[in-house]
Amino acid sequence: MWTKCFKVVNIIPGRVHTSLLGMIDFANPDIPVEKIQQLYENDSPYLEITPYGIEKLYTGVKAVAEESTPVVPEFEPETTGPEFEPPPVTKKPRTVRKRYPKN
Amino acid sequence: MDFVDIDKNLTNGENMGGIAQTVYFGLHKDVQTFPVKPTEPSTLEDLGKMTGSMLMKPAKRMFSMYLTDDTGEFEIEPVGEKDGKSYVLHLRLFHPGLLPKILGFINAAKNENLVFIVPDNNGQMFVMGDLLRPATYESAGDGAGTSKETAGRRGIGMHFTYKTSNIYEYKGDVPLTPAASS
Repeated sequence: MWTKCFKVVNIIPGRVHTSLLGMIDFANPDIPVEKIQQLYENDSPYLEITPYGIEKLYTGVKAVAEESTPVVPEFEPETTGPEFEPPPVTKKPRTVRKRYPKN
Repeated sequence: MDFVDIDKNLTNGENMGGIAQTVYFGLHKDVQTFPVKPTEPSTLEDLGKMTGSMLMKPAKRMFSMYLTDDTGEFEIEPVGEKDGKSYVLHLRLFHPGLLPKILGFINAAKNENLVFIVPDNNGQMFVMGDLLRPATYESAGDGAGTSKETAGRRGIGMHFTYKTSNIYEYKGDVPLTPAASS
């Protein structure tokens, strides 16, 4: 029953001509939940999802989103001393090899 | 926004003429929120459609009206001088019979500020009326009365107009049940 997943808001439940699905009677509890979900996802101003609806219809989406978001552990410095300064980069002197003429 | 190529682009080849046998109407003063015209459209398509739905004030709603098939028409008429072009949208329809309900409607509507939502035969909808301007009754359209011949058409013809700077498709919903008190 779609009424467990969505709540009608802004109007008294009844007939609405929707641009997506034509005439819908929100007073009818037997409308397939997929249709109501389509209207909700099309930004219907007359539908609000319930916590049960989020759990039932979007749990999979939520789980995928959580999996794809990497968890970055918080950085905690071990010491509070002065900042570490890396040693200055010095250029290695180029070695010149002496060439001898071939015999 | 840039221009783009415009091809034939008929959805599933559909392009039937005329409007559906129902139009939706309401009082302009009963509308709480009008659909929003495009403000910064990025595409031509965005410039041709409104966003949001027409929401009514608490306890108010829109109503449906039956019309005889092939008597309804939504016409777009460009008007104005060069550099000052705009549109007049026309809705013409014929409701059969001369019973008190339709007589009462036309008595009430003839001097009222109205809004209409007009569905066409391809599933598109068009709004007549915005925050600034309503739709108003213009004339009897194709005629109102008993007709002359016995085979004639008896009923009420109606012609409503709405003046607008641009034309848009309406992608929202039509509330046919009263708005709830907030």
